[in-house]
Amino acid sequence: MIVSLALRGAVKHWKRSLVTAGAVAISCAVMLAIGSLLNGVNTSFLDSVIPNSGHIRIDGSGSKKAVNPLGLSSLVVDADGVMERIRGLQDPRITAVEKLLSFGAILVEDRASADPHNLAMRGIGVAPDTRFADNVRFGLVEGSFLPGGEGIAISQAAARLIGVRLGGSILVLVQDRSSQPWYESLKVTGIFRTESKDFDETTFYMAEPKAALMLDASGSAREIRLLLSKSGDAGAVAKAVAAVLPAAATAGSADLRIQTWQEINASIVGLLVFVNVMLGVIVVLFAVVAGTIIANTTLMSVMERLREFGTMRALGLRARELEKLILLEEAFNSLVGALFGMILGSIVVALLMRNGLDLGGMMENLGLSRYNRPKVDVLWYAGCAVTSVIVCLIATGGAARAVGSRSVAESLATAA
Amino acid sequence: MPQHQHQHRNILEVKGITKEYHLGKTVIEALRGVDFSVRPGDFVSIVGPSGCGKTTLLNIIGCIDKPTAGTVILDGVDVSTFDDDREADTRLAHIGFIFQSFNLVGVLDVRENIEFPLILAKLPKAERKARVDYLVDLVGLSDFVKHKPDELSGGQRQRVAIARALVNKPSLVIADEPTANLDSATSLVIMEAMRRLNEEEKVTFIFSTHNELIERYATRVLCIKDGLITGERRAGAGEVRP
Ligand SMILES: Nc1ncnc2c1ncn2[C@@H]1O[C@H](COP(=O)(O)OP(=O)(O)OP(=O)(O)O)[C@@H](O)[C@H]1O
Ligand SMILES: [Mg+2]
Repeated sequence: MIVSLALRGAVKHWKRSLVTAGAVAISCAVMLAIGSLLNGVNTSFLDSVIPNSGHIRIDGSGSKKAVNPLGLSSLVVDADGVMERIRGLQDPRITAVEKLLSFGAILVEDRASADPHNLAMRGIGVAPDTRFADNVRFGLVEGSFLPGGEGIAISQAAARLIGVRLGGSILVLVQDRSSQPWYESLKVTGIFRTESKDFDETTFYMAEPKAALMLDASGSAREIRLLLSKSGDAGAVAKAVAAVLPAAATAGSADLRIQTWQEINASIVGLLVFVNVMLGVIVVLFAVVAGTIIANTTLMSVMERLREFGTMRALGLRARELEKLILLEEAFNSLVGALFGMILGSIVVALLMRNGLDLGGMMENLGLSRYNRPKVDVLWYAGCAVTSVIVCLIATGGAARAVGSRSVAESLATAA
Repeated sequence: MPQHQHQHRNILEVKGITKEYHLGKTVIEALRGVDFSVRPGDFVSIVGPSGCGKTTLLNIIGCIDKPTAGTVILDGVDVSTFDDDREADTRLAHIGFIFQSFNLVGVLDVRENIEFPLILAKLPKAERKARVDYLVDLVGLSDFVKHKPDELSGGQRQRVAIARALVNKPSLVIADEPTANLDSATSLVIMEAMRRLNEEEKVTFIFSTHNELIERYATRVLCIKDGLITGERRAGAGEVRP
């Protein structure tokens, strides 16, 4: 009957229950929406950053100071040897080791013409079965990604600028390691479009062995990327890799630089931490405001019902049990509130998911997607509900104790 | 159904009770040394002018307030030093309350209101049902068990309260001005009910009142003035009792 008493109390004082449930619902919904948004930002950050850097990147330390980041003087000379050593580690946390060779090139329309279209771009040589370049591989609109290690993958925008279609050919002009010009005609085997216009207009992909051949840089690489099964392992794996690399110096690969994804993207990670903390603060503020509202409403309500509670005490209800009864009533309210909060939050999240939240060009400049889509997490849902119920119970605790500790005679003497 | 086994012993012994209220610097002496005892089957009335200390005294006897000095011995146990929980347990097991404004729990129906103390006492369901059935019948509310308090008249509500006060078979039922919120006809009905329970069920009552008509139902009348008992009248053969 105590449970039913609490339930009926909540129903009878429905106006006040509504305020409590509303406060719980709003704080729960805010927590859900912000949490999902954060989850979305963080996930999309990892999704867009890791394919660009890998979890761990090894490059020549000279590239840090190089005037031309695409210059061929700062390559990792013995990339194959380095990769050999890393594979020799047989570390189960490492899921992929790949070398990439980026370089400057001019793409020229391959057509007899007095004034052929041309475009200065950054070429990236990768393994045709690469685990990186997700934005390109999953952004293909025509053809496929370097089938059989042949051809070139360019963006729709670049194709339009140069005036070439899928199956057409393009002249790729480069300077090799000894500054000799070199060109090759490549068939366009894939056309892609990513979310970044900037990227699309400046980047094309071709198979790494072919690029190395053109550049006379076989066995070398701009960088070596490692993909791990868990992002969190990056620091530890980087140490393990560093331990086997110094010996590579003898093979002519001195001054290797090993960076984890956090180090590579330090400024974005910092910004992201800041965003996380800010939104976390907002969530806490909402919880505090909701808690204060609940605490006040409940206190007012129980003070109005003092005589009812005093009567129960007079009949033999212990102070502790009375407090439990009040908390139980509040628990009902907060459960209802949490339920509504989850529904409300889900609606907000669904709306955000459909349209994406425009975080503006700033995100794009950071190499992230401009439109953020929230990501829903079952655990987070449960966490929000539980947290808002707990906030409510903590807020109610004061009122419950105020009633429980009041003398029975005094409670009974108050007007009904 | 006999309520008490120890017919020889006092149910209640009040010794040297004083009660002071401190309001800022002024001290109000609500009770200034009260002594009396109650025997099983007594039907005690406490009378006196407003502010003389009736409610204060009944609260102390009922373990919902503590005396400033003195002892209250209930069923042979000194309860004046009990902590909050033991007081609650004592109220549950030994005392029944009838309030001036009925104080029924609004969200509970008649049956549940009467059953409430039995649930606190953790009685099994079957026993609870039997006991509540017996009491609703005793106070003549069998047709109203599903009614909520606000669907009842004042007299009916007070009869629910009486049933609730008796449900745990208390040694002592305390009623602070039980008829003050009732019209005079209903007041007499309620007092009749209490007298019948006193005579047939041997329930021990102690109640306070302003009303001389009501006062006459008692077998003993304690007169209080300014926090002191100034005299006691006992019902002679038909002298006090109507
Ligand atoms: N909580 C309190 N704080 C201060 N003074 C109090 C308190 N309760 C009662 N008093 C005082 O103690 C005295 C006795 O009060 P009490 O309520 O016991 O009288 P009473 O006989 O029940 O009066 P009434 O017939 O009006 O109900 C009064 O002077 C009253 O003002
Ligand atoms: Mg009084």
